[in-house]
Amino acid sequence: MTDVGATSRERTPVLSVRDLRVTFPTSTGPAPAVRGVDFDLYSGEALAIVGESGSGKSVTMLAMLGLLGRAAVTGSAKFDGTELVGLDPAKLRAIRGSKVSMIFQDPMTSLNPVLTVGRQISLVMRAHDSKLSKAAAAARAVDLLEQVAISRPQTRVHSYPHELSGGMRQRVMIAMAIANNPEVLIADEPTTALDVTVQAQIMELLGKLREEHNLALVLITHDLGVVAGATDRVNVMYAGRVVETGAVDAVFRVPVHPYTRGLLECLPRLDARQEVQVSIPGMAATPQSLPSGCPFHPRCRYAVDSCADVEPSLEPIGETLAACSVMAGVAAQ
Amino acid sequence: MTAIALPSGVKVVRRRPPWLRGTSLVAVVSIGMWVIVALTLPLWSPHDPLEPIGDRLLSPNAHNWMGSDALGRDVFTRTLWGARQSLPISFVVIVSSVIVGTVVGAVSGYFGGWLDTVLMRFVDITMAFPPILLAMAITASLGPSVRNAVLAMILVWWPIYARLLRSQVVAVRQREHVESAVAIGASRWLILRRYVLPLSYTPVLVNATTDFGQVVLLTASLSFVGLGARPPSPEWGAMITEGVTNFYDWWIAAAPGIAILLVVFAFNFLGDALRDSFDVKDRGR
Amino acid sequence: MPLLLAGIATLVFVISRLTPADPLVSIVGERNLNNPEVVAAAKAQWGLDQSVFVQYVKYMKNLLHGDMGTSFTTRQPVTSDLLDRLPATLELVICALILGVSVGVSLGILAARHRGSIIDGIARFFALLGASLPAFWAGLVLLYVFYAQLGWLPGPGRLDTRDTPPSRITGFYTVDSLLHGDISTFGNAVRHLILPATVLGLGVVGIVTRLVRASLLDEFSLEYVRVARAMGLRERTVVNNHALRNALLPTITIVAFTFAFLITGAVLTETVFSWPGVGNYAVEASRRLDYPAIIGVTILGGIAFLLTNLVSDVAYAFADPRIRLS
Repeated sequence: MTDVGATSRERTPVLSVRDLRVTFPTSTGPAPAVRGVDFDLYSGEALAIVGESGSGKSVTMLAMLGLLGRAAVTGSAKFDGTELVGLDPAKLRAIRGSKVSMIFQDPMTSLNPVLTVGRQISLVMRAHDSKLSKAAAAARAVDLLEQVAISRPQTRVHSYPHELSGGMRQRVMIAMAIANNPEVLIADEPTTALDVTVQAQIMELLGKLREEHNLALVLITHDLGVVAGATDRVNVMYAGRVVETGAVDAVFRVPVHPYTRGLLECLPRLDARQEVQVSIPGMAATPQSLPSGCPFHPRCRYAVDSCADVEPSLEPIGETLAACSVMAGVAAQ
Repeated sequence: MTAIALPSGVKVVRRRPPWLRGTSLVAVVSIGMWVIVALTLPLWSPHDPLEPIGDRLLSPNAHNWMGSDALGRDVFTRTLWGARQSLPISFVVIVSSVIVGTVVGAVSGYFGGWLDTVLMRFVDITMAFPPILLAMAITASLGPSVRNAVLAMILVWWPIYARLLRSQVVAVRQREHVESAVAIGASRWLILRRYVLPLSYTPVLVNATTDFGQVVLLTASLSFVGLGARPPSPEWGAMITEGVTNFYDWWIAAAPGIAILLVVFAFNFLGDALRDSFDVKDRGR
Repeated sequence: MPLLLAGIATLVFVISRLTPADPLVSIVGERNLNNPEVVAAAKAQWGLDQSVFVQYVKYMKNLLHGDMGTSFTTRQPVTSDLLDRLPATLELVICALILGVSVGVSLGILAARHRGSIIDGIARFFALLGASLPAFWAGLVLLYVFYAQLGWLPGPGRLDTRDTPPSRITGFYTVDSLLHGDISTFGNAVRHLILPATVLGLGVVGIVTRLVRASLLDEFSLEYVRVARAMGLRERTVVNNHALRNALLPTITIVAFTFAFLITGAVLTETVFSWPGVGNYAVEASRRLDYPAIIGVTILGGIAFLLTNLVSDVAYAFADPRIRLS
C-alpha cells in the first residue's frame, strides 16, 4: 500500500477530527448532516473531500470553524492541540482567517461590492492584528496580490470586485485567506464557478502556495477531475459519513466502495470509447430522509438484503479504507 | 434488493398560520373587537353621543370614564362611536382603491403598449404629491364633507395599487406556466383571471392591511383641518380639533387619539406579520 | 422629467376646476365679485370668459413665469407667500430628518444584530408605534406634557412671542442667529424646534428603522458576509464596514423620498405648533377655500418630489461603485 502518510505519521497532525457530528434543527425534526467523521491532516499535506451536495462535506468544515449558527456540533476537532468544538466564540474568531482560513465557491458574491479589493484584504489583516496601521496593511495587500499572481497589483488594489474577472476575484479571496500566514487552508469548491482554463490556474496557484508556505490544504469538491493532480489523500463522503479514504492514486486506480466506483465511472475519459454517459441511478440521500442501514444501498448495484440492516464502518479493503460490508466480504475470501 | 426505507423523523404538525400566532393574535383580536363594537354599538351604547348628558368639561370620573366635553357630552361614548365613522370609511376607501387599482394595474401590466405608458404616467403624476396635500386639495375643491373626503382618498389611493398590481402582473406574466397556457390557446382574459391574478394578490393583501391604518390616519387628519367630518359628528379627528380649543382639558383630545393609535397600531402590526409570513414562503426556506 | 412637471401642473389645474362653484369666485374671492375692475383683470389674466382650454393655456403660461395667482387671504402673490414660508418648513424638516434618520438607523442596526431577541422586539415595537401615531395628536400630547405641565420646553411658535427674529439672511432662524452672533436667539430657536422636530421625526423613525433592519438582514444572508465572518472579522466590523454600507443604499432613496413628503406633509405638525411654514399655509388655505394658495402648495409638493428624486438618484449613483464606474 503506497503510504504517503508514512513519514508524516511521525509528526503530530495539524488538524485532528474525531467523531464529528453536526445536526440541524428543522421544522420536521433534527437533520443529521454529518454523522461521525474522522480524519487527520498533516502540514504540507493536501486532503480532498469529495461527495455530492448534501453529503456533508462543506458542513464538516463550516461546523468546525463555528460558522454554522443553529447547528448542534459534537465530537472533537483539534487544531494544533486546541479543541475547536465548543471553543469560546471569540477565540474561534481569532483562529479563523489567521491560523485556519477558508475560501469559498463563488467569487462573484463572496466579495463586498462596495469596498475596494485592497480595503477588504486590509480589513482581514487588521482584524487579527490591531497594531497594524492602515498604511502598512495597504502595502502588504499589494504584496499579497502579487503573490497570487495578479498583474499590476499597485493599481489593482484600488479596484472594485465587479471590475475584476472571476479568476482574479478568486485570487483575491486566496490573498485574503493567506494574508495572515495560516497553517491550514480550506478550499470549498474553489473552482466550480470558474472556466476550465481558469480552474487549472487556480489549482496551480494553490499548489504553489502550499509548497511555499508548507500549508495544509483541504480541498472540498464534487469534481474528481480537480482532485487527481492536486491532492495526496481523498475522503469520499456520502450521507454525512466518510465511506472511503486513502491515497489519491489508490482510490483512483482501485476504488473499493460502490459509490466511489460510481463516481469514477461518471467521469468522461479521453482514452476509451464511451457510448453512454453513465450516472449513478437514484437521488442522493439527504439528512432528512436517510435510508436504514447503509445509506447508499438503495442506489447500489451490489446491494444485498443485509445492507438495509446495519451501517458498515470503515475497514481496510484492498489499498484503501472503505465502509462496505459486501466488499469487505469479497475481500475476506 | 430491499425497498427504500421510510424517511425518518418526519412529524406532521398542524400549526396555525404565522400571522395568527402570538402577538399577531392580539392584533387580530383587537381589530375584531373594534369591528364588533362598531357594528353593535347602538344596542348598548352607554350614553347618547350627540346629546349632553351632564355637566360640561368634567375630568374622567366613575360616571364619565373619559370625562365630558365642552357641550357636556360623554367623551368615552363619543370615542366608541368614532369607530362607526372611521372603520367603514377606511373600508370603503381601501376596497374601492384596490378594485380600481387592480383593474387599471392588471390591464396596464398585461396588455402593455401605449395603454400601459399612458396609465402609468398618470399614476406617476398622482403619486408625486404627498397624499395629505392631494386629498386636501381635492376635498377643498369639491366642498368639505365626508362623502367628498372619501372620494378624494380613493382618488389618492388607487394609484398605489395600480402600480403594485402592474408590477406583479408583469412578473407573473413571464412565468413559464402562463406562457404554456398561452401556447395552448387559452384566451387572454381567462389567463388573467385564473393564472395571473391569483398569484398577484399576496402583496395587495399585505399593503391593504397596513393601508387600512393609514387611511384611518388620513381621515382623522382631514377632519382635523376641517375638510372631512364636521361637528357634531363624533369622528376622531374632529374630536381632537375640539380638544385643541380646550387644551387644558386633556381628556377631550386624549381619548380619540388613543383610539386612533390602538386601531392603526393593530393594523400596522398585522400588516407586518402578514408580510413576514408571505416573505418567508417566497424565499422558499 | 419636464413631462412630469407639466403633468403635475395639469392635474392640479383639473382639480381646481373640479369645484362646482364658479371659478371666478375662487380666483377673486366673494367680496370682490362686485368690483368690476378686479373681475375684469382676473378675466383677462386667467381667461375666465373663454373656453377651459384657453384658461388652461394661460394657466400654464402663468406658471412658467412663476405666477401662481394671488392668495385672497393674504392678498399677496402665492409665489412670494410660499417663498416666505419655505425656510421655516425646511428648517423643521431638516431637523426632523436628522433626528429621525439617526435614531432610525441605530434602532435598525440594533434590531438586525439581535434579531429574534427581545431587543429586536422592542425596537420594532417603537418603530411601529412611531408609524401609528397621528402626528397632530402626538404634538398635542407632547405640548401638554412638556410645556403645559412640566414647563421644560417652550410652547408653539418658532420663538418666544416677545422675541424678534434675526434679520433674514437664509430664513433659518438657527443659522441666521448664529451668523449674527446672537447666541440667545439661537438657543431660543433651537428649543422651539425640539418638540415639532421630534413629532415629525417619529414617523421617519418608523420608516427608517424597518427599512434598515430589513436591508441589513437581507445583506446578512449574502455570501460576502459569510466570507467575512470566515476570515475572522469581528461582528462589529462585519456589520459596520460591510453589511451596513450595502444596506444603506436603499435607505438613501427612502430618505430622499421622505424629505419630499415631509415638506408638505409637515402640514399637521405645523398646525399644532403654529409654525409659520408651508404646511400651515396649506391648512389655512384649505379652511378658507383659498384656491390659488391650495394650487400653489400642491404644485410645490410635486416639484419637491421631482427634485428630491433627482438628487437621490445622483446620490445613489455616487454611493454605489457599481453604478458610478459603469
